Amino acid sequence: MKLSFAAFLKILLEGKSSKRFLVGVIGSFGFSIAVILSTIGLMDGFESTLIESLKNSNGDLVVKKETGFFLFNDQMKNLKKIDYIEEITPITQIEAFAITEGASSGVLVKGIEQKSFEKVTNLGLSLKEGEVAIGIELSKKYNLVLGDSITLTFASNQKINQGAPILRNFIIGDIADHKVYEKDLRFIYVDKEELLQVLNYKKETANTLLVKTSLYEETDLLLAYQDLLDRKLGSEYIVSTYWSEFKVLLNAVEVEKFSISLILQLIVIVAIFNIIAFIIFISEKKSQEFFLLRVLGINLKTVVRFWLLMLGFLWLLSCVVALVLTYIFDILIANLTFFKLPGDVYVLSRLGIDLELTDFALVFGLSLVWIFIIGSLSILKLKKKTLLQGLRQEFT
Amino acid sequence: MSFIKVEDVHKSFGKTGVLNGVDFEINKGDQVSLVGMSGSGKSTLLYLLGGLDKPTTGSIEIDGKKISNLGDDELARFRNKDVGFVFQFHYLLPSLNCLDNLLLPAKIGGVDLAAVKKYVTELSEKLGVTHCLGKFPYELSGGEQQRVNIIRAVSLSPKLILCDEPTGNLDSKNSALVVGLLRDISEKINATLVLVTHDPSIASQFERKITIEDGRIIG
Repeated sequence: MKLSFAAFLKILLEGKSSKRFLVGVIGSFGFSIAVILSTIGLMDGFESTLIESLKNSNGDLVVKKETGFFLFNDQMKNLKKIDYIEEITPITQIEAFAITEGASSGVLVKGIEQKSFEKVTNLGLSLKEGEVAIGIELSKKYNLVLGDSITLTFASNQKINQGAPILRNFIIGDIADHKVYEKDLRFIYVDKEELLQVLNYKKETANTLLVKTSLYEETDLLLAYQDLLDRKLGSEYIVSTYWSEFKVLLNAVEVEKFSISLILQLIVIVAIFNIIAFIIFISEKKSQEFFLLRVLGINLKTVVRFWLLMLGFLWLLSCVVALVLTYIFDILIANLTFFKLPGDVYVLSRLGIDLELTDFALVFGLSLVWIFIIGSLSILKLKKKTLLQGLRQEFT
Repeated sequence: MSFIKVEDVHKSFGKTGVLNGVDFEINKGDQVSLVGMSGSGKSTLLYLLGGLDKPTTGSIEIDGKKISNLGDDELARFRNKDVGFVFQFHYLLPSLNCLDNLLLPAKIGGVDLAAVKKYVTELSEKLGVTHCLGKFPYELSGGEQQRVNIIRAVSLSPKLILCDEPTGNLDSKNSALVVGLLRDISEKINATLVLVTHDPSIASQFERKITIEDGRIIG
């Protein structure tokens, strides 16, 4: 039986001070990694949740007419026959006031064709005649539940009642959850035909067309397709992607992600100082043991191998601590009101940590590189000293 | 043929020459004391014999093997299998109990542990430290620690036992005991014993004495 790594570790970490120092170093390094992971995860989570939410409420492409309303006639219906288009749904949307008991709020009422709308957006709403679906934030704001009534006030465009609003009572038949704060606070869905009747518009009137394509996974392809459709529909129509309404915000997040990752390097450097201190502490405190083991026949190669293994062990434990802390942080974000975001500022009312394998690989990989750079410097120091010098210095 | 053959060995640290042309030979199984004033180079010479460092120039041959030419791996193997070191201070690892300390060379060398364990337990009985085997070094007296240290040095029955002032930290009673033990054990395993001391009474117990002064052998 050869001297095992475990035995070497036992020799190296003997004494309360060494163990406490090790725990402290693993804790602080793990915490630093967790902070980096959580920050990256929050940024990614924000980006992916927002994109996903937008897709779920917009489909892949949004078509609007420059002059506002258009007729969803056969020509428009034929868009469905174009390659890669899977489904289209017309929407008639109009600003209105929602009035509940003692309060009112500006809203955007969307008249939808339920079946095609669900296919395009994945937002399945169940609406009967006289019913509306309100956003979840609006329902929370005014304590509205299913079955409650709500009055919608529309501006009249008829010359006879110019200036007098159209008031209509609806029953809340469904609650919509877009996961985008503004939409959840402002959007109210109603059956398109019913809305057109209330407004006294022609049956085929619409002002927005949502399009679902088979290219939704590929944003580059979708951009190219948007360009193609834009040219096909002519200059009267504007085609935009589902994320374009928050494009500026998403770009800002990208820039912020880069700048924050630079700032986070400071945390890594502080943690690295802890590791340097530990390595110096161990190599100074245990140099007697190092030299004695070499006198007894351990070759330098084995000492170096064990030393690197110990650093790897330290890194591994730090990573485990980081994973646990990141998981705890994720739970806290999801459950504590303290972590609830002001939705009007951050668009999303809650953030989650969303990490991909590449994020883990990058953060863990870089921390491993840092540890081995520092560890290698201490090995150079150990190699520089001959056994005779070491014994004399350490045992005199 | 000589067991140890030292030819024109020089050793310097920076510009300071510690050994300035040392030549001598020792036969297999001999027991030799190496004496000299402090700073004369006796410990440096002992460490060169044990493969803990290499001479600046000159050659050291042990049992037909030129150790001054060996690489780090071979030297490590040589120190593990062929040499037993006894230092003035015990140098037992505080994190291991005495038995684990005794088995350390065997573990490093990958030697059959059961056989070594049996051997060191027998030696412990003879040296009166069986009760120490489960204890940690800090729980032992100075004399007990040195006896455990001796057992570790001979645990793999080395061909060469090198001792650097092994009694320097002991009273006269324990000193006599330790030197006696070293001589007995090396005789039993037919090992060559080289013991550095500055105590004339200890040096006189050996049939051969090598005296070193200013890095040269003078007698």
